[in-house]
Amino acid sequence: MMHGGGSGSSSSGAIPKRGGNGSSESLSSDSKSSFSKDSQGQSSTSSTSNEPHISRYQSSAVFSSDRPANGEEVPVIPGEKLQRMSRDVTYLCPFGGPIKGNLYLTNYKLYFASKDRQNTFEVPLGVVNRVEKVGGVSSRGENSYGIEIFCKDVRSLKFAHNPENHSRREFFEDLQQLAFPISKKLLPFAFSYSEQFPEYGWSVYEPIQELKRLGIPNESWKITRLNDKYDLCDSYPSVWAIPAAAEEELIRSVASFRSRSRLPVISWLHPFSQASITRASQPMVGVAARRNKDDERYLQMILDANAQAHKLYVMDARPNANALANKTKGGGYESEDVYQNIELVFLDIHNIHVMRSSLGKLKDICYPTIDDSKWLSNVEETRWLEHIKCIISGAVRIVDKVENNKTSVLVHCSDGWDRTSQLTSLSMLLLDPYYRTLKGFEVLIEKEWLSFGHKFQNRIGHGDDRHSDADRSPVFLQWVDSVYQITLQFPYAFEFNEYFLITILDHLYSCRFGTFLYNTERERWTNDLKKKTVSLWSSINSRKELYLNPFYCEETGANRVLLPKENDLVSFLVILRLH
Amino acid sequence: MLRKMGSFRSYVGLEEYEMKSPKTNSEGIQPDFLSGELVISEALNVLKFTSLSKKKGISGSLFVTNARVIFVSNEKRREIEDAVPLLSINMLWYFETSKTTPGAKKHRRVVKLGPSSVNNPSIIPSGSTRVHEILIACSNFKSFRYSFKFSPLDNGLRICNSIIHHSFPLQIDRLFYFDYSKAASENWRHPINSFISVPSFLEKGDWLKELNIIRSNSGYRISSANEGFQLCGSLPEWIIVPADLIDVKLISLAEKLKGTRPPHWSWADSKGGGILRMSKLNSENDCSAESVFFEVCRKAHPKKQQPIIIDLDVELPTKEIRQSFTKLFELCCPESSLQYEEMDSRFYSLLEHTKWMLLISKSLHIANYAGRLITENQDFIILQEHESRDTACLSSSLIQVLVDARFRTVSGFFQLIQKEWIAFGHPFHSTYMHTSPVLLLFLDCIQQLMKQNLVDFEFNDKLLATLWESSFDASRGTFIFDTPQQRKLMDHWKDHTSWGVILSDRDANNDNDESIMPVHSPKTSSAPLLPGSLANPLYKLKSLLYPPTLSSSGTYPLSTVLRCSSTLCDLNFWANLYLSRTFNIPSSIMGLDPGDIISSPVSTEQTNTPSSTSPEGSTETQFLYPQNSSKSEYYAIGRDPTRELKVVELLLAALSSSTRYRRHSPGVSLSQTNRTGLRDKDSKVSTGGFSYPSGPGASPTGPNQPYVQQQLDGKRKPFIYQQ
Repeated sequence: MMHGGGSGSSSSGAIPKRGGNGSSESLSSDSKSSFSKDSQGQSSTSSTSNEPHISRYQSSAVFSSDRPANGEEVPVIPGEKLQRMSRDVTYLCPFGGPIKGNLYLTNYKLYFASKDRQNTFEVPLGVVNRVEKVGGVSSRGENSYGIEIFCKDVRSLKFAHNPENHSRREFFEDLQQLAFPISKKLLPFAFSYSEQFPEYGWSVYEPIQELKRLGIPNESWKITRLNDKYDLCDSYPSVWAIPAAAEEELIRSVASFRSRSRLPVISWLHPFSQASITRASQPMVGVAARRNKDDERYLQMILDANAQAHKLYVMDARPNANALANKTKGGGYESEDVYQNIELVFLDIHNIHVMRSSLGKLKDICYPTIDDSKWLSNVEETRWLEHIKCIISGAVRIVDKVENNKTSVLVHCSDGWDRTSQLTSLSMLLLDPYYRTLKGFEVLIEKEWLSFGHKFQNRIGHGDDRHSDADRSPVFLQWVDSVYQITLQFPYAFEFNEYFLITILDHLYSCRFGTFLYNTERERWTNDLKKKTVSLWSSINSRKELYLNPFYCEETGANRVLLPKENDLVSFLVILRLH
Repeated sequence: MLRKMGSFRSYVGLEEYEMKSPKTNSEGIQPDFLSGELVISEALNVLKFTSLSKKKGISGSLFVTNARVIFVSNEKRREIEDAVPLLSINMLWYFETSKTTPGAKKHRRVVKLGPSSVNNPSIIPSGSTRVHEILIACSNFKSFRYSFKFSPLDNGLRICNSIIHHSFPLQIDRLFYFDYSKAASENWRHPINSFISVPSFLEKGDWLKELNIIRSNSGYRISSANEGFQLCGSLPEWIIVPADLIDVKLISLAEKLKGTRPPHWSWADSKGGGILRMSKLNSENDCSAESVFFEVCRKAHPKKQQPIIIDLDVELPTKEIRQSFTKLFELCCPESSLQYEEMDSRFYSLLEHTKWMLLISKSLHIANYAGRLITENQDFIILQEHESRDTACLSSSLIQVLVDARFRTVSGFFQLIQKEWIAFGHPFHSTYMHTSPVLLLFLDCIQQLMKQNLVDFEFNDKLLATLWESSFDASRGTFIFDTPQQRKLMDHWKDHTSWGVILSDRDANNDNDESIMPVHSPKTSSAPLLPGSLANPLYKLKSLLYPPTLSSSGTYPLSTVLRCSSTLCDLNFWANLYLSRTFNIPSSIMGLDPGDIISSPVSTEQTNTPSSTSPEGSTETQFLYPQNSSKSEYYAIGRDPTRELKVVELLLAALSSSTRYRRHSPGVSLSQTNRTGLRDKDSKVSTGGFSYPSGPGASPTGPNQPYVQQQLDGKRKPFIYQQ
């Protein structure tokens, strides 16, 4: 394509339009999968034009792909078995054009290797969102007969099968079976995975120890095991801390007044001022403006636990209108007239459905092609950044109240497991340098997300073929993105690096580790996850050096509160790099 | 010596902000003026607002001199609080009311100065109005707001008028540079970095050296056809042309070209790849002379390849760049806080509307394309533009940065600018009034390359920003003139260049001891001292990640060609420069200016967090802000290159003593394939726009990466940085 023309005709524009042909295209295609940047290191393949796209999938196979793939073998991880292989499959790369090769299916991943084994990539089956057949046997045209795989992480893969050997049907059926085990009443791959790691990740978070770190129990807070059998609140952990003055009856009464019994319990306690961050679900006020004296008393106790303040801030993560609308469904918010000494603030964060559609729009503009000329306004239109900004500024407000005003803050949304988790964990990250270390961050996820019942199963849809389920939403992804934004603004304050965040996101979908399976601590306990699966933290903590930020220095971050600029739209430009 | 002043509280327009009573004289306020600097007008009791919300202010005096607008606060009477070079003023807003009708409405007026209003600034009707307030927006994207509420009645108007009249003298000899050089040359002492010698490319010797460096001895010669500037003043007297082109033909060709500028060579490698700049024909009808010239170029090529002609007028019109810059400027320097908040939510689409990012993308694309032709195909590139003085400078220098690692060092980069922009006659004064959007576009492109290639540049983007600021600094001659001829005739102080000023990095030296720590550039001791604050801390890792190639046999070592992505989504908005307003943007959520947050003293006990290891104890909560809001600091979000540099140096020290690393040390160098593979991966890493701090040092880029990590981990604790 390098034309050496132009002699004589001076006015001929020698530059071809971008995206015109092969190699200039490949250059621009890098961007679309800039996600791949971290995983590149492990890839042994070299630079063909489609590599950037391919290599993205290797990020999930950091530990396995350094094994050589000779002949027709598939590199496998312990517990992984080859199930099916399909020869003469063409991978239709949206950037580099079709590549012929073999497609392998194991119980963990899809693995594609080109004929010369130069190009390989893998997709953990957990990432598969939807599989569709394309074209029939009679379809005309090259590569029009095959399957298309839509993934949970933005992209879609197209494979063309050879119509003659009828391999497609079997492959498709096996894929359905293996990719959606939950729908088929089977167990996800995490239960077969048997790799041994020197570190034991399930013990990273010990609730009692973490509460002790916060100085609990003390004179105003106590640890309770009321929920030991998960009968008081099935989506809460078994151990939590409440105001010391609250007795069991009161707790039961408060739980009955809160949506799904998720009563206010402590997330974080300021080590010096005793200002606390508590989390809950909405009170069941309803249109009739029901009251519950015990709930009012309980909130007063939370306020009283902090001697320095005379007011409790109730941060309702929802927009005012949504909170109001919830009254018709029996929910609502604390009225300042009824509850003494509280101040109610709405943080204007939208619900999971808005976030889902926002991410959907983001996917549309990123993959497979980017309209370069409208890139910026397209990004703006998705409003993804605006939502992130909302979350960050919500967290900043909480931090402001806790740190500057020394007041306690109660955070809730509707059910208290999506937006509430985002806000509490983000503000804790800003307030407490411990959570900015590698281990602390793992604790933070275990505590605020996993133990407090963020519904990972429903939000991600592990092994579930109902791809348009309205319960799915990128809440956790959005939170990680917010964290990423903050790491950009404070490059020295975090012990971990971007690759750590990306690895977490990769395994959020991959179903290789038990960490993000199921909705609640109760379900994880019932299914004995700690025994039957491996924790993601086992793997990460065994290779810590990969995830450390070389510029981290404790002194800048330690004991200091981060206050990010929520107005700094510009750094958000980088956001898409995460996808 | 400060007298205690009575307290006066004003409730008018100053939202409950307590302030000192206006002083009635400026006795004792005597800032340090530069040599040759003369005060044109001054205003007393001026209130300088430090935030967009007009809540905070400092009282002081404002001077307009022949060089700058200077603000001196009443508190620190000798220290200059703001010094705005007149040449940098881009936009002036003033708010006036009629004197004759009291209580009349305030009017807001805008005067565009500089490039946007060459020859025709609107003049304020004097006498009948009172100017209450001015807002100055400068080409370095900073704004300053002064109120004359407490000043004597006519002060505001006087200031306003003198800014408008004096900021852009049309005749070049009225520039402050001439006053300054006359006055200062007598008692001038060499600054620290004055020995940095950047060849001027106006002398024959400089070009000879250039030809030697690239070992491209055949095919080109130095022509003296322009000796005494007989062809044109906008090119040096000696230029390099294809060897087969005799002077007579060169002259006759030049006469047919715009600006009678003969084609001029700017760079080549030893294999035939090269760059030549030429202007367009006067009349498109007669292109025979041009064709002959192209044929000469073809024959000069070792493989007799046709040259590639890139028509920059089509690809990258200068007009678009100017329009885009104006819009970008309006976007980044809003006039009021209201406007700022309104734009905040639509920032992306407004940014897109400026088309600035698109222009960066276009420029990078051209450079990428040409760079690939040169390196992969050994093609000879001819950049053609109207007079080849605008975007030709940009494209040519950008391509050279991509293909030649020499221009990614500080001295090389300065040489490049001296050669492509200054010697080849970029019209800084007459066309751009010392704010050249083309130059800014170039610097922004370099900034993009830095973001995408973390270890390849010796310097960081602060150096680029400083360079941008010095391009409208009238006290140095480097960026003052339009043409080499002017320079030769009028510049009597040639060794007093901007380069030393850039490297001395005034901001950093003033308030931060650490940043003074100079970095010796690796080559020789005569190389310039690069202050830590301008250095790219990761540059030192380069030799580690990509050991120097063994072959110097003229083959292109892969590692010297820079890769870059020109797609818009990979581009990075240069917020550090463009959003470097001097105001604190009011935090819309908390309603607090960062300065207002009071650190709360807390007890030191009960530290069961890991922070208890911190040595000085935790006596008070410290808030960390992503950026330093102090005005002299370059606005890097959370970044401190000096600190990073230390980390990298310790890392390197640790590595050199590490036995594990020795296995890969140069003696047992990695095989060629390995190396190129590594390089390749990294270029991918970079195109992804990896965020800086977690850059290659943190990502598992190659086989030796884990060592880096481990060593670093072990060495992390010892650093103690005092905030």
